[in-house]
This record gives sequence, structure tokens and C-alpha cells, in this order.
Amino acid sequence: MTARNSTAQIVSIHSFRRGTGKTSLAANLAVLLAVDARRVGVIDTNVQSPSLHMLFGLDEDKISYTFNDYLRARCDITQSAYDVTPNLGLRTPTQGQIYLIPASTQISEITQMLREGYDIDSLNDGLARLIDVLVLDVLVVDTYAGLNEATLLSMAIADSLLVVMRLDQQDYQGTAVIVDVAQKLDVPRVMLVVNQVPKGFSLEQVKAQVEQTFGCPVAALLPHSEEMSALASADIFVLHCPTHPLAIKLKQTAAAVLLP
Amino acid sequence: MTSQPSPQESNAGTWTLADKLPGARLFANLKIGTKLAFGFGILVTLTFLSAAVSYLGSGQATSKIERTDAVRVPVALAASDAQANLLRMMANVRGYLALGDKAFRESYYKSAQDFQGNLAELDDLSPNLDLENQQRLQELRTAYEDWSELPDDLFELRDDQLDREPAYRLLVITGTQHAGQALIDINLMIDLQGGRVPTSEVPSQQMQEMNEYLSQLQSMAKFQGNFAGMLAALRGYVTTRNRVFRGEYEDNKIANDIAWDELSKSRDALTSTQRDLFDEIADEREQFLLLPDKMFGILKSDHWREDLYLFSTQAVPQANDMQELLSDLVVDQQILLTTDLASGRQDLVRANQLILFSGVVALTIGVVLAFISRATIAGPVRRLTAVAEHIRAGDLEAQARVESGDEIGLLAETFNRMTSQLRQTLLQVRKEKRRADDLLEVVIPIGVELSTEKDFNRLLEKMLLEAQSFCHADAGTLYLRTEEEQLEFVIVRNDSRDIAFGGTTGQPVPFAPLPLRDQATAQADHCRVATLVALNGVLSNIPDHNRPSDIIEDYYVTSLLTIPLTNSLGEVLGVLQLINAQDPESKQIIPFDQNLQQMMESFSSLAVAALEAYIREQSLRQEIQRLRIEIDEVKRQQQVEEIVETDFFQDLKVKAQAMRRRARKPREESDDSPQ
Repeated sequence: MTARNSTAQIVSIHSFRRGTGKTSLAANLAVLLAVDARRVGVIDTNVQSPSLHMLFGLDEDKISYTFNDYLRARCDITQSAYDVTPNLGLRTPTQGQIYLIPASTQISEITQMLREGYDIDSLNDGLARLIDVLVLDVLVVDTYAGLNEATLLSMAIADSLLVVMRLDQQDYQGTAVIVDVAQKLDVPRVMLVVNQVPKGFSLEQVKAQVEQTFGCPVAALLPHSEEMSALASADIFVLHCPTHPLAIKLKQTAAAVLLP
Repeated sequence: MTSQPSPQESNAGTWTLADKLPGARLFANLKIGTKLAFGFGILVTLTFLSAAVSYLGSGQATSKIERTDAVRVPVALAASDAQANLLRMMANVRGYLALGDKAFRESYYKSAQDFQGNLAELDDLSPNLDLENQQRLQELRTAYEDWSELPDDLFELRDDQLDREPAYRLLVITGTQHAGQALIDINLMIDLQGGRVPTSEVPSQQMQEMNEYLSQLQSMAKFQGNFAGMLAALRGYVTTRNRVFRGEYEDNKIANDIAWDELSKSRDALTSTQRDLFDEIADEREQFLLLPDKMFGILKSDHWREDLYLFSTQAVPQANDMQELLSDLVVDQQILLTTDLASGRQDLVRANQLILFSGVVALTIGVVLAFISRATIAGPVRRLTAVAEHIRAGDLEAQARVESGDEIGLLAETFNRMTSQLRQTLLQVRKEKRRADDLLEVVIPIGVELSTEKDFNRLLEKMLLEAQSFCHADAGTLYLRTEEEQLEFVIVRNDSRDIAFGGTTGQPVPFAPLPLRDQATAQADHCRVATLVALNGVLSNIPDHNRPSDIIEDYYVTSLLTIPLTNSLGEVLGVLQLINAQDPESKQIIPFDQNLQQMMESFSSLAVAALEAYIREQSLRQEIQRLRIEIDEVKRQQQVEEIVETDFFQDLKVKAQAMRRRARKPREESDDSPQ
């Protein structure tokens, strides 16, 4: 096992259910960190339904190697890393950089991956290499929903774990389990992100209630935004509406996420 | 269209034409443009007429003057000239007749020519003359034609002494014939006598005979001499008409008579031849002696000179006639000229008078029109302006009088409409101001109070009580709409019956909620009004409901104000009902007036805002309270254990720990990043 760059952080984004806004959260946080002059890597381990490349405007035909290829030892992981900083369309250039490691959209790859899975070593090595070669400050790992071996792997290698949930009864049970499991896995920081909070809720009270129930700190309570929903996977919200209250909240979240 | 003058009008007392004259109403209703056109039209027509009249008048005068120039004067001049020429002609003829100087004849012909020239002139001018004068001219012409032959005849006559002096002719032809013969005969006789010898031989007889013969010869010689003397005297007398010759003749005649007597006595003593001669002489003498008387008679008469006779009996009268004609013509023309000039002058005078008259008339009409226009245009405008002043000064009751159907009348009507509009607007403004004042002083403070009320019950109660208070309503109810589509009685108050439910009283409201839905058309009671208002969101203000209340015993509902509490989305959150407004002093039940109604409308929107804010807060709190995160802790533990106790997990955990440891080491070794 390779030792990682000590100052680099791995931030994993999980959720119990799909549609909690994990991927967009991952993308937005990554962009915010990059804009903040950090070298960021974003890896799409959501082999089930990869969508990060869409958010970063990376055409599928430009993608030669994917994360799947790395896991199948078809390539070096760095080969599947794409500098998508230009794609951000930043008006003021940033000192930061953002590399995307996409997952394959091919059905065959997907099914295979789901069937076979992968092991922690390859994941960890890959990530360490990425951090090393690309001199990354942060590596954001987007996973797919649910609690399974693959997602446990992402949890295990994480320095910070963000568990995204919504105020939906269906989320609660599973999320509680994830949180507990993560804590049991000795993940250094486990935080909850309550996404898409409807209007009419006292954020204070929600936060208190959630922290109390799940026994886990809440990193952010992100209110539901029509604009963000409308944007969907078309673009990165914080780039599109940088002054939106939600964008500001996301900025705060990004700052809070990193270990001091 | 026209309004009767009202007593409050400030311009009552002034009259308009329309009030006085019958046809003037029609005139008054014409448009101003038409009126002015009409007036100006009249003036223009008058001006035109007077110009035409003057033109015609002066035209007439001018034509008369022209006639003078073209006819009268030339005619008069020609006629005068003709007269002069005629006189000249006459003078010349007379001159010639008298003196026989050829120059007169020359002169006559010249004058005759001139005269004819004059006649020709007159003929040219004749068509311009009147009938009488034309006839005169015709007469003149005819007369002249007749007369013009005379001078030549006269001249001929004058030239021929025999023709011209009948006595002379008589003498010369007949007289001389007879006298000549007699003289020849006597001469012969004398000759014979001279040759006579005495018949007797006796010398004494012979002497006697010779003495006889001598005395006979003497008689014969005397006779011859006297007779010749007579003849000569006659000749002299006939030619000179000198009485001396007449005396001479007489003398001779006497002597001749004596001589003839003597001779006659001795006739027998004459020879036969002598006797024949004697008879002849006697005959001739007799014949001859008939003549002198005739001659004397002729010489005494006018006919002594035939030419002169003709002249005076024919030429002169005819010429006089012509002169008269001419003179008449001249005089006539002169008269006509004078009359023409006079009438021309009169025409001019008349024309002048007409102009003056029409000028005066035009002036009068102008003045009248000015008055009319003042009355129908300036007057109304002035009155209208006065009314406008009144309005401006604040008297909105001022009415403009509609006096005519023209633009000014229209303006007056518009004015009145405008002022009535203004009155309404002012009333409206005053109402609004009152409303604004009410809002500011009453409703808004209450609204502020309501919005700061934290206790729900107190809030609702305050809403009803404050509303009740400024409406002076005896009773009131506050309903809230529930989720079950009902109107719930939340606060109920009735002062006169001393009833208070809900709110801070702690007393629960004992009345069942009113269902909204299928009560929309049912029974008539004041509660029903509430549901109707809740359903259609329209305020209801009933001044005479006049029914007993069916929630409170023995209570009669007279005036009823029901206000929907509608939020910004149009949803009716509840109903506020106020019952039996009272007159603050008399405590009599009165209707809820417009002002109150409007205040309540404003109040209700404030109340709704307060209510909504409260509800929102409540619902928020409710929501948060409802955020119950239900987690089955037991199941949670179970599920966690299931995962954690797998080998996979355990391996992973170990690996992860190892990784972290290794990661931490380099981190501890490097000391760039702060812990």
C-alpha cells in the first residue's frame, strides 16, 4: 500500500438513497475548492450511473480511459484523469486545478463492475497515485447510493465522510445505519449534510433534531432550491449562480469540510 | 337641452334674446359660425346692394349725361345751325330778290348746302330722338324738300321781269300792244292829217278847214303826246311805283281824255281812213285804258312783284315753319337737356341718398348685429366665465345656464357635466380623505397592535373587540375556516346580553361549526350570511336583516356587517361578523354606514395580514414539531451489527486503520501544515 501525500485529504460523499443530490454536491464542492486555489481531483466511483462527466462538460467521446479501465488494470489511473478546469469557463483564472476521473457509461462495464466489484487496495493505490502525481490538495470521491462493499471501500479510505440525506422518512433509517457504520469504521470525520430542506422548517431546530437523532454533526443544511433543480445536471450551480444563498451555503460547507 | 334659470343663479335677471323673440330661439340654436356668417352675410349683402344701387343710379345719371352729350347737344347745335343757315338762305334769297346781286345767289347755295348738311346731321341723330322730335324732323325734311324748289323759282322769277312784275307784263305785253297800236295809228292819223288838203275851193272855207285840220291835228298831237305820256308814266310807275309817275299818268290821262274828247268830236271831220284809225284807236285805247286800273290794282297789291309775293306767301311761311320746327327741336332738346341734366342730377342725388340710407341701415344693422352677437356670443361667454369663477372659488353648486344650441350652449352643458363630475370627485376625495384619516388614526394603530400580538387567542379576540369598538356594534363573531371546510366559531361577543365566548375568556364556544359546502342555498339566518360570505369572499352589509339570532336566545339582528378575511392569494381564512351598529349617543340600532364599511375593509386586510403571519409562524412551528424522525433504534442496531460483523467489514476496518496510520506518519513528520 502506498502512503499518501500527508497533506492531501480525501472527501467521500455518500448517501443511503439515490437522488439526494450527492453528485451535484460533490461537483459543486470540488469547484468551490478549485476556485479557492486548490488542486482538486474528482473521481466518479458511481459506476452504477455515472454523471460527473456531464456536470463538468466532458464529452464521452473525449474520454479515452475511465476509472473502470484503471480498476481493470487497463491503464494507469492518471491516464483516466482529465483536466476540466477550462471547462469551468471561469472568468478569472484560478491557481487551482480540477481533474475529473470519470466512470464508464457503457452498460457492459457497469454491469461487470457491479457484479465483480473491486478491492480496497486498488482503490487506495489509485487514489494515492492520483494525489501524488497530480499533486492534489483534495480528492473528492463521488460514490453511488447505498451501503455495500464498494461504498464501504470509499468510506474506508476517506478522511472526511459526508453523508447526504433528505428530510424524508425513507432516508432516515438507512442513513442512521451508514452513520453508525462509518463511525465504527473509524472514519476520522463523519458529517451529515441535510439536502433539499423544504421551506417552513426552522434550520436550527432541524439541525438540532438531526444531530440528536443520528448522533452525528451536521455539516450543512442546504435548502431546496428551484434554480438548482432546474439546472439539474446541465451545469455546476455555484458557477451558474455564484451569489445565490445556496451557493454561499455551499461555500461555507466546502470550507467546513476540510480538516483544519 | 335648455335649462330653466334656477333661483340660485348669479346671473338671473339678465335676459337673452331667446327669451324675448319668437324666432330668436331658432336663431339661438345655430352654430356660432353660422350666426356670424349670417350677420356678416347681411352686412355684406347690404354693402353689395348699396354699391349696386349707387352703381345703377350713377349709371343712369351717366347715361343721361351721355345722352346729353351724344344727342341733345348735337341735335340742338345742328338745329340751331340749321336755323342760322335757313336765315342766311332767306336773307340771301331776299337779297337777291331785292338787289339781284349774283353774290347772294352764290351765298344762298352755300347756305343751302350747309343747311342740308345740318339736316343730314339731324337725320343721323334722329334715331336717338323721341317720336315727337323724329316726326318734327320728318316734317322738316318734307318741308324743306318742298321749300327748296322755291328759291330757284324765285330766282327765275326775279330774273324774269315780265314774270315777276305782272303789271309790267301787262303793260309791256298787252299795254304796249294796245298803246303801241294806238300810237302807231295816231301817228298815222297825224301823218294823214298832215297830208290833208282842204276839200273846198273856197279859200275861206279852206282856211276854216285848215284851221279845223289844225285843231284836229292839235287834238291828235295832244292825244299822241298824252297817250305816250300816259304810257311813259305807266311805264315809269310800273317799274318804280313812284307816285310821281302815277300823278304824271293821271295828268296825262286827263289831258288824254280831253284830247280824246276833242278828237272824238271831230271824228266826223276825219277822213275815212282816219275814221277807221280812230275807231281802231278808240278800240285800242279802250282796251288800253282797261289796263291801268288793273295795273294799279296789281301795283297796289302784293302781286306787284310776283317773286316777292311768292317769297312772302310761300317761302317765308314755309321757312318760318321750318324755323319753327327747328326752333322747337332746339328748344325741345334744350328742355330735354335741362331735364336730363336735372334728372341726372336727381338720380345722382337719389343715389347719394340711397347710399347714405343704406349706409345708415348697414350701420344700424351692424350695431344690431353687434348687440345680438354680444347677447348670443359674448354675453353667454361672460356668464359662463362668471360661473367658472364661482366654481374656481369653490362653489361647486354653480350651474351654467344653457342658453342656446350652439357651441357655447354645448360648452355650458359640458361645464355643468364637468362641475357635477368635480362635485363627485370632490366628494370622493373627501370620502377618501376621511377614509385615509380613519385608516391612519384608527385602523392602522389597531393593525400594528394586532401584528405584534403573540398570543393567538388574544390576537383573534383583539380583532373582534377592536372592530366591535369602532363600529359601535353590539355584538360580533369571529369565525375561522377549518381544514374540514367549516366555519368554526372562535370568538363570540354580545354586549347587551353580556355574552363572551372564546379568546382569553377561557370559555369554550358552545356552537357547532358551520359547514360551508351544502349550506350555500339553505335557510336564512345570520349564520348563513357568514357561510355565504366565506364562500364567495364578498363583503355583505345588510341594514335590515330583521331576524332573530339562532345562536343567541331572544336576540334580534337588525344591521349585519359580514366581512371575509381574505389573504393575498384570495383564500378566505375566516369571517368577521358585526351585529347591530349603534348610534354612539342614542344607542339606537343603525345600519353600518359606508364609511364604517370601508374602514372595516381596510381593517380586515390588516387583520388578515396579522392572522396570516401568525398562522405562518404557527404552521412553521407545527411543521417543525411534525418533523419527527422516526428511527427504529433496535433495527438500527441490528442492521449495523449485520454489516459490522461481516468479515469484509472487519478486514476493511483493519486495512483502513493501517492506511490511516501510515498516512498520519508522514503527516506528523512534516510540519508545514498546522494541526
